Amino acid sequence: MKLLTFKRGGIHPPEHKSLAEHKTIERPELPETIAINLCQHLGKPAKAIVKAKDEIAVGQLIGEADGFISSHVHASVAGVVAKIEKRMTAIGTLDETILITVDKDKTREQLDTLNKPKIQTIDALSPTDLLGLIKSAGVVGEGGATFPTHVKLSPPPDKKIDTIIINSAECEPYLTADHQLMIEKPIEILKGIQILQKALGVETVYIGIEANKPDAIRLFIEKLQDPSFRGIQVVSLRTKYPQGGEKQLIHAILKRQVPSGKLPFDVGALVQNVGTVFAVYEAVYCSKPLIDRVTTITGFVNKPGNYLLPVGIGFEQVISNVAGGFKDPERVREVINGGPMMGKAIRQLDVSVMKGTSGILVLSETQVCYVDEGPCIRCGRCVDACPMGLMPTNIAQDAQFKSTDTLAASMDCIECGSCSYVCPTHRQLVHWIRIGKTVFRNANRSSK
Amino acid sequence: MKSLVITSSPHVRSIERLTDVMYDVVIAMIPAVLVSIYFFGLQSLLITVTAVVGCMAFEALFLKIAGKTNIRATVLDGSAIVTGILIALNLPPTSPIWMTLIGSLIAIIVAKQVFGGLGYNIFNPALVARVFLLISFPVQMTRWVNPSFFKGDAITAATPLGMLKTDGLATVSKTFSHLDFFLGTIGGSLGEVSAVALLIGGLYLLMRKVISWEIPVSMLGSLFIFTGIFWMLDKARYADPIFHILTGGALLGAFFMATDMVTSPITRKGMLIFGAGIGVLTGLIRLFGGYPEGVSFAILIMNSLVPLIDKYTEVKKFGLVKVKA
Ligand code: SF4
Ligand code: SF4
Repeated sequence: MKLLTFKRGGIHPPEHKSLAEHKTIERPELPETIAINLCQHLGKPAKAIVKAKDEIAVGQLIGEADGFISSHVHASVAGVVAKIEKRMTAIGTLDETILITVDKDKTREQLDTLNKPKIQTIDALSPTDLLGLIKSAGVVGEGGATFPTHVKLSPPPDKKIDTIIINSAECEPYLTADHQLMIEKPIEILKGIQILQKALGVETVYIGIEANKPDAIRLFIEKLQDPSFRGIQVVSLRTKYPQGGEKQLIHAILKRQVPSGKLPFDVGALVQNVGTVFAVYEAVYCSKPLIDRVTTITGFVNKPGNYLLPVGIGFEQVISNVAGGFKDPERVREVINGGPMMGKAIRQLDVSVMKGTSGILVLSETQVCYVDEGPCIRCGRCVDACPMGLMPTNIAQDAQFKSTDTLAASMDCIECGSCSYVCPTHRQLVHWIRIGKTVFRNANRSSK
Repeated sequence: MKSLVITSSPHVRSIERLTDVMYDVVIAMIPAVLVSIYFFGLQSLLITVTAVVGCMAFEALFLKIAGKTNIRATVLDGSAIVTGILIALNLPPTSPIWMTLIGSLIAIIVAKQVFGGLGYNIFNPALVARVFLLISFPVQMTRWVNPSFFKGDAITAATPLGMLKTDGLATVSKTFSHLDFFLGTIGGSLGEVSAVALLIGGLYLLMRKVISWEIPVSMLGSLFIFTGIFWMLDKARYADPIFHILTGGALLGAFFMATDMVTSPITRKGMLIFGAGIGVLTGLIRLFGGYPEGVSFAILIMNSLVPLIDKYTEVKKFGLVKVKA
């Protein structure tokens, strides 16, 4: 099969996937308490609708979406609300958080019923019904951006979507959660795709999988022999970072360029992460809200693997009880929420797993490379690596010295980190470009 | 557990570091250095060592006086060593020690550190040193000897390009063959004699992706075409294009000096323009200028145009497509 890829830039970082690859998804022991952040998504935080001492059931709505771009938050366990307070989240924000004391027996019991499919087909459901179910289940993009899925599935009426792309590239090094999910739940994922097809009235679907997951490619081709899955095709993508970037994926598969400053629906495409598709399946078939997700715990831990984690379980708990603890606590330097290229380093371990936590990566002192920034030697490597055709070194320089000349270009940066990755003098290009974005936004605001 | 560190993403980096890049350049110059020792003897080794030590010492001294920290790391980052070897390769084998040291001083202090150090300099430091010495000490800088190994004792001799300028093409053809240029059995500065050693080093750099093909190819290509046109017009007067590529500093410049990252354009398109400019300017100076050799001047002139070239060759942003209304 021909390997498709985006054309410009890209890098080949060492994959390190073998640590957790092919490890069966395990459901860990329940913790004593759980802390669910009310801002699990891009947009406005949800509003708490429970209070301390309330008794709650698994899947119960505890945070209500506030406004158009927002999303519901549900309890991932049964138990009693201990308190509601502001807490640090795994993405570094300070948000309202609901702490729940877990009732383990009840949780197990209720989860069993919740996990069972309640309907056999979606024939009886209209597109509006489907969207409603997805919305009330609080489904958000699980790839990391956590954009509310029901909003993404409701493009403005003048934008006609003709193709759905399922993002199964999983191009971040170390992460294998999506891969394993595809191996274990192919039929559920395909059913989830059918839901998207129906909700959007779109026939054509491409499942984009990087070539480093040949078993997943084979499995899906095999499952697609079933004639009931119409219009769906598997495409193999070249293993290259950031193949799973939305704009890169659309370019690789459809040869369409999302114009600068525009969104995928401007070129008639919609991209959904494969984990999200599974959540959509559960929302519709099982009426199960998004309360758990598959996360890869990997790196400098004793038992790296793929785990089905309840939203709100603490990182500390996850690392010590689920993943067998740090290999050597003294040598741990960094814990990352997400992958090594785009994830966020956390400050302390008492933060909770969120809907967007695709991975928890522990890096030891030998893996973290913290060196001072050197000067730019103008080698051009960052320019060659940038998939968005930007001049990272120039933007970074302007951001650093507060000139706004090239900062408009910073808005096109997808923060993939390819430029910083290749820089031989370790300049923190993405960091400066992020600052550049803020400077540019502020400059524009004040000139208006 | 110790406290966690917070770094900005990405949290992993390519293993390639500045020092790797620089030491690769050093490795690539080893064949040329060895050939020069083979041809010119220990004198050549002495010049190289003096230049390298001189560059590192002057850099350390400057940083110390300027009150910089991290002196050790900067001096050992490899860039001063590269500059030192390049200076040596650009000097005639008879260069006195004091002149070599002055060259190092000019390169490191005037051409590099005064501009702000590595990454901020506009001109290639080694070339600034060469041109400075050429203007200040024209006698010492043009005292060439033939490689002693092949032609008996070292005797004063002209470089092929010098001979071409003063004695005309006929004398040159009588004295040398193309094979002489290729192997290096000709007069010239340390690094200008053996084309084959330079090619080996250049290929190594290309293979290691330290340099890209654009600058060497466009520079040598345009020099070839430019001198080729004149050769076709009057074969008795102008030397053939192969001669121009194999002699003087053309190969040394193409692989080791024009490709200096700091002083060359950042985009591929810019590199092509930059290289082509050097090729044409070199041809112009060699054919019509006052000096027999023009590579150094050509590169320095193009160095000064880099900001302009960069400005007009920015890469095309992804997504600059027309939006359907
Ligand atoms: S500038 Fe932005 S888009 Fe380009 S490589 Fe850097 S992080 Fe990626
Ligand atoms: S990769 Fe680093 S050193 Fe090279 S041009 Fe970009 S910023 Fe400069």
